[in-house]
Amino acid sequence: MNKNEFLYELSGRLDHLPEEEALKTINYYSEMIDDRIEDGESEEAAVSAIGSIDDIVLEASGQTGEPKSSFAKLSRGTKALIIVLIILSAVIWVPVAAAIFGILIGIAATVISIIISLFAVVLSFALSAVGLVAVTPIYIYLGKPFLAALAFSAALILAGLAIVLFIISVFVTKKLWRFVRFLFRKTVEIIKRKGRAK
Amino acid sequence: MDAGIKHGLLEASVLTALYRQDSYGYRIIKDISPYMKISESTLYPILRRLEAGNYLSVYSVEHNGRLRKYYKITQSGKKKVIDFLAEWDEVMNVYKYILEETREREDE
Repeated sequence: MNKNEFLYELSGRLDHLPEEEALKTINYYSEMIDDRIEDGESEEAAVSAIGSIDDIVLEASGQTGEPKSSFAKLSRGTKALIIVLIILSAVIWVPVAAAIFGILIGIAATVISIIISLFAVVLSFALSAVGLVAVTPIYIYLGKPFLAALAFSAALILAGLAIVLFIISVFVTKKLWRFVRFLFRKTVEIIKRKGRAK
Repeated sequence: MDAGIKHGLLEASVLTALYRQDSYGYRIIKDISPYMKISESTLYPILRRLEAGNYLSVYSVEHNGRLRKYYKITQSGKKKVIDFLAEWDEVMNVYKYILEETREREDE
């Protein structure tokens, strides 16, 4: 391979780097080849002594702290085109993203209201139980033992129901909350995956 | 050779090649080659890193109708070489210890 072929292939392989980096690299190796030729080596010998283009590209890429993402490996032209396309298509993806976001918020709000209603029921049972317990001695005082007994047993039943419902509510809350978090995380994951595929 | 050690040695060697006078790429390789295996593609990232760290500066000189890049060591670069020597003084002590403790003794 002669010097021009070598530099031409090298510059092609480096086109994922910023222009300044690629230029510096090519100038460096051009100079190295020239120095060897000046030293008496033939052009072919100088080019092969420089090393393989694969190695050079590897070193040059690693040097700039090149991100390993597949987006960065695209040529400059392709990268620019993709960015323009993303901006132009905003008309489509912005409303879609907003809709998805709205749905997620809606689901979260529904879940929250379910949880609140569950605990509201628990609270009403508990308060009723307390109220009935409070009323029992009044009935006794009024000489109505039957009503007192009725009130007290109702209180016990309601208290028991409140406790059971409370345990169920806590359990349901945990499950629902985990479900909501899972939904959010899945959505973010899908978005990231779509982004990486671009 | 261990990659980290090799890297440190190469950096110090490149700076050493510039210690007494400015030099250019191909001559640096020729100066270091008797002591360490170094190619153009190995040298390039080292020069870039040393320049980024301000251990050397770069300027261009016209030579035979083309531009040749010359490298000049800075004060920090000289200090880096001195630090290297001090660090390897310690290494030499440990080396002597290991050598002494492990060599075959005639009277054992």
